[in-house]
Amino acid sequence: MHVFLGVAIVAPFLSAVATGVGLVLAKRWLSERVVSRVIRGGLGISVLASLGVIATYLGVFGVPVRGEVEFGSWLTVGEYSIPLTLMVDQVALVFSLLASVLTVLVARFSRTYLHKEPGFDRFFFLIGLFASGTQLIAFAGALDLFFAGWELIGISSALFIGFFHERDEPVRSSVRAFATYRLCDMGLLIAIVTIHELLGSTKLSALDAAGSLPAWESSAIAALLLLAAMGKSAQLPFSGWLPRAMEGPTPSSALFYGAVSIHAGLYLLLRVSSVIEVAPYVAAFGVFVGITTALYAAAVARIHTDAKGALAHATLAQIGLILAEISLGLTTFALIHLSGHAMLRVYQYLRAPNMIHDAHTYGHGHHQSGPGLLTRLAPRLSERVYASALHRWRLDDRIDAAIAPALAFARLLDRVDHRVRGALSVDGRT
Amino acid sequence: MTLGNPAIVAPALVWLCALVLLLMPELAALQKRQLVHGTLLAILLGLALALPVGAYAYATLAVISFVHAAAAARTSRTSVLSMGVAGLACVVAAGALWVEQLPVAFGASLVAIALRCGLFPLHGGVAALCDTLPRVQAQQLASLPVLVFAHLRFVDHSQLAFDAAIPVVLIGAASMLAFGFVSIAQRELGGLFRASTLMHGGMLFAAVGAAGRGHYAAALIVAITMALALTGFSIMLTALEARSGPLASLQGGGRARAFPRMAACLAFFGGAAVGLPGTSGFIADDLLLHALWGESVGSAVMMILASALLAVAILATFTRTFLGKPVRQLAPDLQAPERVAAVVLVIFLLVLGIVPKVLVDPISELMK
Repeated sequence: MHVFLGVAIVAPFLSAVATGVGLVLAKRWLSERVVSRVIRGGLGISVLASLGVIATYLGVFGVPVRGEVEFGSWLTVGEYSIPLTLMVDQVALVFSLLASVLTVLVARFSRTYLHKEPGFDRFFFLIGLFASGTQLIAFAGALDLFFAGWELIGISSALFIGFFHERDEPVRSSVRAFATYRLCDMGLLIAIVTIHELLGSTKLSALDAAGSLPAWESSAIAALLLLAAMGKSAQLPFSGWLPRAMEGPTPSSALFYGAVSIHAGLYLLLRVSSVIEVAPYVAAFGVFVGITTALYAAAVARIHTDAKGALAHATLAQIGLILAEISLGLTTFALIHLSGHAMLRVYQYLRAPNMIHDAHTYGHGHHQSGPGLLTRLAPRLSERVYASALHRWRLDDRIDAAIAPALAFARLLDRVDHRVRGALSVDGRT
Repeated sequence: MTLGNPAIVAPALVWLCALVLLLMPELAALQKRQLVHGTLLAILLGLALALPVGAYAYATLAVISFVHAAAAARTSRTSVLSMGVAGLACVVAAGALWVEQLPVAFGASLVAIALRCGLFPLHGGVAALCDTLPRVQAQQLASLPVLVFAHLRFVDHSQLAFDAAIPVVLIGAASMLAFGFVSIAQRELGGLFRASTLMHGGMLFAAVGAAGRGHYAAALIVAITMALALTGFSIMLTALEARSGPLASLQGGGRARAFPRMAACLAFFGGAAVGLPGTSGFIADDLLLHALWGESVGSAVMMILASALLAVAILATFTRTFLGKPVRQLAPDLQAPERVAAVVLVIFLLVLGIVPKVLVDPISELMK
């Protein structure tokens, strides 16, 4: 079991590191074949290892191994340690297999799709990094490990959005997505430290004791975890980055925003569901956010004119519903919903570039229907929803307005720093 | 994981890191003439680590600070003053240790660290080094972990260190947050490097404060990680400046097409500086966060916010310089010595990130 678990996480990471070091040290660029084979080899080994973990879980090799698997500690300093604990349960197995199989499929698709594309090597390097991040969050038995995988996913996701870096828009979108991630990751980081301080360990098994904490403490931890999940899964009010993320190449959109990355926030909530359960107000807020996001995304998806943008919002609507399900405590149902949704969206995203071709070949298949229910019941409201959906409820503008004072404060501090350096300088200049 | 006697292994590891930090910038710049200067510094650093008597170690550290001051003499008087005063503080610390006045030694050592790491408002010297003499800044970054090591080993075990921990942590955290915000306002890589260095300086000072209550490993790993990541960053900036002209005058982006390896390395070192998982930055941030949380929740939150701000600033400034419509560049990408220097630093960051016990265990054992 230990070997399978280790290999599932480490194989893609090593393939990415080998490719990265090779690219920096080699005199000439590595060929597409070498890069894609190294990375796909790492991904393939990871899939096999995931299957090995499942086999061990089922007892194929003897006594079934389930629950926490200890690898010692990453480091121990005094009373503090980062436990190298992995968790093998049904939730982890489903997410691990789902992520590894979809990643290897998308990597195979990309080998042809991105042939001779500048950045081919970069794409595969990032896929390797991303795959190790997803396997790490899938099997993490402690929140410190989970955070490591979470960050790898966030960074590779932001770099994928800016993949076509010679255009301005993808680059701007990548910075915006990354800023949203980092803002919301603060919630996860603070939650991890708080959990460690209050429960004595960051192991997932320690979270079962969250019910013994005072209500406000468990609610605060649940709220911080929900904040992290909302950022990663693009829930309102952090939904603005998702349509912008469609600037990346189609395979990465499929993998990240259709299949794995967008569901990572929900997976976090599935892992910490014992904390959400004991925080009813936070759970209620989660339901509210999920339903609101679903309604918002459904309205926007209906009027979107580009395929990937419409798909992004359709994805978001389902993600909102899954968040509501988890907050209601329907975790098994949410896991099934999540898995089915991920597989469907990968297929749809990968087919998206063919939509125009399909439309010409098979016809549009549109049905002219009469006015919708909302239009018939409340035509004025329907018009307002339509108009608001057109500019996505000005979400980005509102976020920009909210962070404007912080940016102004940063500029002010920069000027103060400049003046202080000038005043204390003995060079006669700064 | 114990590799041997921690009294030998811990200083030896710190010296190894310091050597790498000293040599890699020279290797990348092919500065053979600096070999004598580098060798002298390496010997002094080894001496400061090996000497078992605090007074002698601080005297050696004073000489090292004066060497840095001398190296900056032609370019920045502010840096000379800053490094010189840091050297004098080390002299005071050495004298105080000689007459067994531990509180005085502690105070003087803190002043030296504050000046060397660029704590607000004592950051003029380090800021000037970042702007005008990145090579000397790299050298003083190489010796900074040694100063921190001496502080932890000889002066950080007093009641005063324990009592002063929270104020020191708060001062460091405030400086860290201030420069985190300043980093967001930067438009070019030079300014970002300065702000990032100063932000990490605040982080190191806070870590040194927390060490007063036993968090020794956090302080040392923060110092080493900061030095490794910022030295790598500095090597890449020097390489870029050599090819594209002064950083302050760089217009537009689009350099990734011409310098893909440089862009990749710069992104890696930037990531390591803000806690990229797999690098020692992640371990340093994690250890420090827990250390700060134990002493002052507010300072831990400030650290998280500062780190997030710096991460966004690094990506934003990186994109402004390297991404966008390609510009025509005749200069080549990283040359072999620069690539080797970068890869050595990358390997150090990865090894300390994946197997942090190599460094953390001997330090913890020694400090017991």
